[in-house]
Amino acid sequence: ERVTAMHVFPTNLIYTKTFLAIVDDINERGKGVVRIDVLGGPEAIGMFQQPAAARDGVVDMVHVPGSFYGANVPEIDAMVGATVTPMEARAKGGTRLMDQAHQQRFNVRFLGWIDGGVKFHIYMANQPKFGADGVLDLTGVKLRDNPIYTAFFKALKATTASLPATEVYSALEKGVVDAAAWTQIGLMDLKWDKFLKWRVDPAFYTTDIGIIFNLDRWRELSPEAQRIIEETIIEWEEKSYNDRQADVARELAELERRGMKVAAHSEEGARKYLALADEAVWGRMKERLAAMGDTTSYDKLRAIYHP
Amino acid sequence: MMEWYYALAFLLGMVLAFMFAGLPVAIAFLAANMIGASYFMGGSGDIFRQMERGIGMLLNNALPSVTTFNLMPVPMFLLMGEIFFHTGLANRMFTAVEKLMGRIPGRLSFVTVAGGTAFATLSGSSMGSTALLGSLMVPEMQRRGYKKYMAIGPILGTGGLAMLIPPSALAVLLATLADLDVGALLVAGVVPGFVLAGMYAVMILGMCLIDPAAAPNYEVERVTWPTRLRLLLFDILPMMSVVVAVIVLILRGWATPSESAAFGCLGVLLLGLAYRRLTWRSLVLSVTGALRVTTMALLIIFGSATFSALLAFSGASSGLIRWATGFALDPVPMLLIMFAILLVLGMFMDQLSMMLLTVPIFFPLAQSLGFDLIWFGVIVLLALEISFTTPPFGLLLFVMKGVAPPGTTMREIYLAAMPYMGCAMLMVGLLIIWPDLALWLPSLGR
Amino acid sequence: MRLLDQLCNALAALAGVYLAGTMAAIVFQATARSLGLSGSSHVFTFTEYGLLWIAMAASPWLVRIRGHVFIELFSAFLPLRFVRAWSRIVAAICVIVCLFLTWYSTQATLHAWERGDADMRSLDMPKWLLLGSMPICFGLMALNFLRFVFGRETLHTGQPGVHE
Ligand code: NA
Ligand code: NA
Repeated sequence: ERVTAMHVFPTNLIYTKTFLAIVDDINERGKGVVRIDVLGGPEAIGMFQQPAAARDGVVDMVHVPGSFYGANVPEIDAMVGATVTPMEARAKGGTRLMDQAHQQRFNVRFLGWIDGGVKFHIYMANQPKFGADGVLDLTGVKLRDNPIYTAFFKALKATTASLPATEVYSALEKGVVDAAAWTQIGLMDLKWDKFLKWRVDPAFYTTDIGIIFNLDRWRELSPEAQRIIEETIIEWEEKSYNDRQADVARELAELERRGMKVAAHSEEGARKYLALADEAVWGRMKERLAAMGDTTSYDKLRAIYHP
Repeated sequence: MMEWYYALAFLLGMVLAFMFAGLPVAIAFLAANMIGASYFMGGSGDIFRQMERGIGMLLNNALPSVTTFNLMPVPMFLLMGEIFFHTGLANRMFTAVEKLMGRIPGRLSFVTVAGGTAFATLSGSSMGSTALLGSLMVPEMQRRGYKKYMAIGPILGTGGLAMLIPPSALAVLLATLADLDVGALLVAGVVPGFVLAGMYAVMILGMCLIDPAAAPNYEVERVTWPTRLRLLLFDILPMMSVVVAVIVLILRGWATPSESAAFGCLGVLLLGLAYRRLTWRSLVLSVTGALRVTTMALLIIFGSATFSALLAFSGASSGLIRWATGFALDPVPMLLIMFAILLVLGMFMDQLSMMLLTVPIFFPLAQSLGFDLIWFGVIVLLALEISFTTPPFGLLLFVMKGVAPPGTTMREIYLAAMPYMGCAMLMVGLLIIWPDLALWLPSLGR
Repeated sequence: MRLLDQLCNALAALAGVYLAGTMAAIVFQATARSLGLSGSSHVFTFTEYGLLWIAMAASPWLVRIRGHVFIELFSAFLPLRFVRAWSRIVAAICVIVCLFLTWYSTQATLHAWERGDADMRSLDMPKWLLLGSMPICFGLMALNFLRFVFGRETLHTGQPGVHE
């Protein structure tokens, strides 16, 4: 059986490399049963159109952060605001809930949460200032905006500028923006560390990259093919989590070696800071679910993903 | 799935056939896209289901490629150029420049090369710069009896320099995708960029000598020194200061290129007010002119961006790349093959898609061939630059067509662009012979 | 006919106003930012969407004034008496293409509406508001091309080169 697949990020990103490794692994184990053909990345279908391509059956399988289709499946914010690992979420039945929500709202299966456990930091060009309440005060800081964390940044009083990731380097160079949020890894790949010399601790949110599969196409697959695909992805959920944790430790050390300084919140400040972050993402999820008339999912997910 | 060469022939054949039949370029792309998308993106089900799915995907896919801030310099610079032109400020400035420059043959072409180099490189937007200079210079130069190629060629040539000389968003993107040192790649483009601009100037001089009628060497009235000072102070400095202000805004990091372009419009409007040249009529004409070219260019991008995606989705472009790079040849022939692929793809695809497709294959290959990757990056940038003006689909050609005076044919534009493409190719040859042209400057910083 | 012209002109005028407004909005937003004020991050979002709306609103008008670039190669080879007939055939193909686009963009708009699809930037923009501009644009374009099929004027002149 042949399956088509796509990824939303360019191939030089670590997350895409993980996905391509998963595909190779499935093809290896699935010899004679199932074979996945990767059609390409954002050059073939725009990154934000790919989830809909999987839903509508243009392509069978897509590797994508849930936030890209958060308006359709609000539940994905539970991954963004999670305090548990992908494995814990699966063990406690969270992944099953997530899968049900995907099937019901988006006509896809949610197969797994890949490269989980990588968190975000705010990185700044100048020394961060803290308010009287001990929380980071971004008044006067020009922060690169991103839909994932807009609400959180507003709470920190930042001045935001919307820029595609590809333009951030030149914007930083010229001082159009002087701060940006990014994951714990990959900052050096983007070369932003040349300008961003301060890291604000603690880290917040986690990456929500998953693999989704068109539901109609999934039902046509033989049970054998289904088993191979799903089992491989579940194994990689744990493997990629561990790999990324090692990367995080390595990259943070390398950044500090290159002279990145850390501005940490006080214990009390950190608690408030993270509460603001949580409030923003869980609040958005609650709002979107309420707009869909769903009043039960929020509490169930909160109990599992953010106990 | 179709073999890649059938897919390639099918898709390209359709769009070329529609275009040569005389359909508007944008409609030709859209027609080919609809058929191609139904076939390749249609998924399963009957033909109607496939068309609905494929074309629906196509239309959704077109949204982000049109609604991006990266395109904003185009309408803004167009508007700025049109206001300059319709308020008569441009005419006033160029008349003064001519009086000051005296009898140098082809003087306005040199002004175009110098202005174009400064403007394109600093604004970083090839399309925006072509739009501004095209709407500003071409009508003025034609009015003064220049042949069209003396006006159009330099603008198209210098428009491409935008991505070679920093600041260049495209170079940053290439460095990021190929995992190169951004600073080194940016610096490496400086010398080749200015050498290329110098080649353009020498070529124009040659053209003037061969065909003196191309740039009329008409008598310009002699002016006295006090008059010169007055011309400089009142007719040139104020207009130049708007252009310089735009550049300073960008360089000092106070604004992005799109924002500075918007400030440029504001500046020209204020100048128009100060010189009492701003009328309701000139405003309406300016906006109409900018709207005409913006819409034309955006609809072509609407069609061509999705055509790019279709080439990638069908496996046609990646098949071509893998096939051509599959030969085991000596380094220089391999380099030329890669260069040729970029030129061929460039005829049909936009730069970003080309980079996403080729970088993962080309850079590892270049490394295995023992190339210096920074040097190779400069060559890729040169190829991308040329592809902006390659017939039949180079986007700059269409922008130029939109702003050039009525009666300008595409043939004239193609021909005007050719010598400048030749210069860029020559530059590639020079880089192969003397890699230090690119590598010397970055080596100082290491 | 008069009604069609007036409608297309009105849409083009709207697009022109939006274009001028975009300039003002960008100046405003950049000024606000450099003064350390936040302004609204929605300004950029709406200037970006504006690029689509402008193109869709002004395209039908551009058809009427022959503002879309095309290449005259085939018709330049034709004997002059066939050029007009060929030009009408080409215009008819354009009508068909635009009608298809009208139909499928209507479908795409309805699907986006039913599924609640959104384009997520500084705000969740309902996709049907973006896609919905397409059927209007392509529908009016089809009508304008239709006039080059049956009307007195034709799209092409028989002169070689690229025209607009
Ligand atoms: Na530049
Ligand atoms: Na091109």
